[in-house]
Amino acid sequence: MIVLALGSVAFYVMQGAEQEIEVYDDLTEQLYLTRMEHWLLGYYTRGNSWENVRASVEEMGVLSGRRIILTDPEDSVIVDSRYEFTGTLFEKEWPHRILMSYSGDRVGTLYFGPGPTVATAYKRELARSIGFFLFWGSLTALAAALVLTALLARRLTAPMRTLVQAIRRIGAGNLSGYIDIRERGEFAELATAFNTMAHALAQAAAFRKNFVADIAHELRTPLSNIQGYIEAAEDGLVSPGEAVATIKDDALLLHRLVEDLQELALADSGTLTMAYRLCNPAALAEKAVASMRPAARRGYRLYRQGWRTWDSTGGAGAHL
Amino acid sequence: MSRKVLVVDDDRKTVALVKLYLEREGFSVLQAYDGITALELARREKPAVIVLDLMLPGLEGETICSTLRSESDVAILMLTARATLCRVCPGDCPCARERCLLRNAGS
Repeated sequence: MIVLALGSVAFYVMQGAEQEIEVYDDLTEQLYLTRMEHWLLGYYTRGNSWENVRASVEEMGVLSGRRIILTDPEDSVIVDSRYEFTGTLFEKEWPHRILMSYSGDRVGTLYFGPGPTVATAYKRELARSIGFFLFWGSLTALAAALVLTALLARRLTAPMRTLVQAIRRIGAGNLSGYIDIRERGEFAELATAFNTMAHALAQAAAFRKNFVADIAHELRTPLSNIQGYIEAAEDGLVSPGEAVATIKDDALLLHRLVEDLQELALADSGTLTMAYRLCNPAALAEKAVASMRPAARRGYRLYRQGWRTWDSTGGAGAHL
Repeated sequence: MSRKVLVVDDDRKTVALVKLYLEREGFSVLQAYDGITALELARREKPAVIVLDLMLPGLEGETICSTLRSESDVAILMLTARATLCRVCPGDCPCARERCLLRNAGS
């Protein structure tokens, strides 16, 4: 389709150039005729005859590249630049100028031979060459543009393909799908943001795995104790009362753990509501320190400091 | 051969339960609730078997296990509520960490 369009353009350019050359030739012809007319009239006026005009007319033919014929008022050929019609009656319908003397008498007719001159033929060839070079030049430019566009598009889309591949890797669960940043500018920013996101996702995934494992551990410990104390009671190693008391403690622990998980889920979804009430921060701090004391290393002492002046403060009591 | 068993767990009820069963079988039971105490007792009392939890205050069970293994051939029984021994890989553990721990424990 593009080649057809280029061919059409080249054809119309060629046609247009030829038409312009024809117009130019017509104008040139008229100019030559006018100049020859003036020169011949001057010649005739100086001698009042056409005697010895042959050499000049032949020279005009050579200079104009056209055949020149000069006839007398009765259209008898005085000079033919190619000698063919000399002395004969000229009856052809060629472009011509009637030569009138200054007194208004007809002194002859100047005929301009038809057919392309050498210059016209050369100009037509030039028009064809313009069309030819236009067509093949455009075709070559088009091919080069297509190749360059393909290369440029490939270069421009390469980072996007890398990004898409990395997104697909992450979508498939491979959270280590980072992008190797070699570009600069907007894509580098995009790649950096993507890598940050991938890193955050990997961290979140690792945290979730550890969190689930820790939760499972925390739940499994009291469950194992419950199971163990039931079996111990069955085996007669502990009294039923002692077993029930321990099981009750572990059941309460499980209950608290499940409630904590529920609150965590609510906080995560942003739907956790806090019930504010007055509480004693010193007592809360002491409670926190006391709960950590068994886990402290031997030789270390846990203590609280700076809470004595705080009598009460607002807080979501159960969450403190 | 020594009939001493060292039971190490930060959960006191678990330790008490294990102790009940071991004593019924005639073992003398030593108890520890943190890593530092466990290491001290193991070195001082030289028990025949150590029942060792993984997650302990002070020193983690994994550290105690590798330390004791470099010092003696004491039998170590890992006791944990974790699904796997490896904390790095809570699911399927493809790394050498769990295998190393199992080898140190003598499993």
